Amino acid sequence: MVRELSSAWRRFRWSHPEWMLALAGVLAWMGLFAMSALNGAAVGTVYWHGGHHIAHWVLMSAAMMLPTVLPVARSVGLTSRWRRRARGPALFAAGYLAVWSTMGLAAITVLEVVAPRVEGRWVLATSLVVAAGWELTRWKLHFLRDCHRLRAIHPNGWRADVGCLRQGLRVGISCLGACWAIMIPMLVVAPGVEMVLMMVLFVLVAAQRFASRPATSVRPAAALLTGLAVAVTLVNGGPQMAVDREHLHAGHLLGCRAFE
Amino acid sequence: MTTPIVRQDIWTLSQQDEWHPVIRAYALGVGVLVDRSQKNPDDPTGWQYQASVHGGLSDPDPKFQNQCQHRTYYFPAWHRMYLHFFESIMRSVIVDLDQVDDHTKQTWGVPYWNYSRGQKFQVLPPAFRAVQLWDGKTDNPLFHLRNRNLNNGGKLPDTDVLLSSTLAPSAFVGTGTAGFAGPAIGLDYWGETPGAAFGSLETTPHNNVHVHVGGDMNSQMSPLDPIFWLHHANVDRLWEVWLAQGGRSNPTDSGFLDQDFWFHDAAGEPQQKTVGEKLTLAGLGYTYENTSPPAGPLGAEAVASEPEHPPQMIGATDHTVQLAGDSATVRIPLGAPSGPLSADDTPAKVYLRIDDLTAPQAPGVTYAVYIAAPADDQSTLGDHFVGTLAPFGIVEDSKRDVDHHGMRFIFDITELYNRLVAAGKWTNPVDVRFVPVGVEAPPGPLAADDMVPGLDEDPGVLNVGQVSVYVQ
Repeated sequence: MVRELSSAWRRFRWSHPEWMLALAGVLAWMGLFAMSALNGAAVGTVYWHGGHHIAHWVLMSAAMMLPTVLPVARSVGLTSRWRRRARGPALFAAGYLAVWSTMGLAAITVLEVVAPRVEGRWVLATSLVVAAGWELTRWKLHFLRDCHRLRAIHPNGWRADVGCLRQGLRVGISCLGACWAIMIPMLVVAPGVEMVLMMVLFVLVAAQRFASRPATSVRPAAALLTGLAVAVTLVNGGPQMAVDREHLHAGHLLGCRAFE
Repeated sequence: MTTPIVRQDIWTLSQQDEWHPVIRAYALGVGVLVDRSQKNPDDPTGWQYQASVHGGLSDPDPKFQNQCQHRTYYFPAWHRMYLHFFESIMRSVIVDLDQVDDHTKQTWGVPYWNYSRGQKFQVLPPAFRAVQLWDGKTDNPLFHLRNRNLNNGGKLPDTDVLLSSTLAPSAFVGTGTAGFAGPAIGLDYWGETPGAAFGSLETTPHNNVHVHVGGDMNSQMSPLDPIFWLHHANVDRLWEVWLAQGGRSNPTDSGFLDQDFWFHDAAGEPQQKTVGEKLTLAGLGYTYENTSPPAGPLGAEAVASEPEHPPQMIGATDHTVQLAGDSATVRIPLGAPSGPLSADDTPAKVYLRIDDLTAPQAPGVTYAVYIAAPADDQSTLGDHFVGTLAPFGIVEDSKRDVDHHGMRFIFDITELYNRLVAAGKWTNPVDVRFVPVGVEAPPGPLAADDMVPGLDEDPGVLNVGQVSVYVQ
């Protein structure tokens, strides 16, 4: 039995060199849920909004975006020399997450420095409407389709490393172009509903990424985002929908912010 | 129980009569469908609409149009269903034609073009080359702008119609390669799904014939050319030939059998059918004149089972190669395998992969691929033949704003590798040579007045991103 399991696990690893990235995605989700639970237990004293913290942003990007590029990472692994099958997908993921991290850092900086007084449910609703509008542009479809494209990678040496990294950067830029607007609401949503919104948007991003025909997905996606915006606007008395940025200060706890 | 329709060999019919009643009925039927489209382009039983079911529209009805399945194991099944519904539309038209006799009305089925029967059958059947119908006055709906040589009696090259590698895979879905039909990756329209790759049936003869017939046939709107349906009837027949070899079977997984597709029936009514509902010839009510496997040692290489570990790349090119109608050779330094396969092991499988193919325009030629062929000895080139690159659909793969995943070909060269190693002809580094192949010119000089219209065979430019060798 143990031998069979061991053999099955070996075959799985051989066929899925991207398995570590899948694990990283799962761990990222677990980390986010743990932080959310920790925050929920301390509502009123310790209140965080992770989207404003770059470390949390990277974790969120890994949870929401890494699973969507597992097939590409697998392809990178399977087309590498055998001894590079783990390193190739890892370098690809590094390049991919570097793009999202840079976007997060820039967006957080803009929000903190340029627009510190952005607040309220209307902010969240507006960001969802912007995301819905982006879905209907030709650029969205262009980037979404470009996410599928793979380029040949040099077979050996440092040029193979650079090739994997560059593949990650290239796919990351395409995904950023396709999904930046969907991620913006995560920067302004309040902690109470953050995980719910994150899960909804993750399902949306994954569905678009894995759809055989992306063109068929953009209109339903726009409708869903618009529906979310309407819901956010209409809901009264529930958890606060958008973070009140004036009440944030610079203290961090576990990558979170304290709320006065 | 109703008698099944027998789809007949177009050349058998043509040898009896260039305008055999079955061919006449088809020509008249095509004319009716073309008229329908001219009156109403949205008529789902019209010629134009039926072609758009395959592909080519920029703003398609997502349920019915641009639906063709390529580079996936749905390739043979979707085209079987497509052909079945087209045939039912055509039959409904033919029964209303006064010029068609009752026997033909009752028995008509789409003929097939078996270009693999021999050299003279590689020529386009005469009714498809005639500009006018049998009356010598009326425009012939079967005539279409195609490769000039082919329209004037030239023949498809031999490499287009070789069936040895087509029928060799024992598995409908392979692991190292795409098997007979294609990979089990789910839906794939033009290579946008990760892992999309041509199965052996799609590689040859399907792609080759599309490219060399040229014109609309070398595009997503290929069903606009009436020869499309005869070509695909033959591709469909080859599926039965493959099964008839024995030891082969169709998939039984629910992902395959339960996948549904939409078509229109003869009345123009939408029909949603699963692959399982439309899988067998008996269930569909037709058969073929001949489904016997060709004579010769077919399929021997496919018996060896694949190891449990996946293929691993041992060498690849590091730069893009541009093919522009001339021969080209790339050199691949090979390293030793590692992991589950040591350097001393004899690989159970060896593959040649050609990845990341792009082209700004559809090339009008294919490329024969040879491996480890000596540069100074053309006489033994055939001993090094791998297969052909026929990049049908390449233009879609080359656009940044169209769904695609990059065109690739995977050839199982195990038997060739073993033979070359045994003969001491396998080298390291190993050379891979690409030789352009076009439609052969018609025999004898033709006077300009005797020439029918056609298209120049433009090789265009084909960019080859990477060529690599895998062992398993």
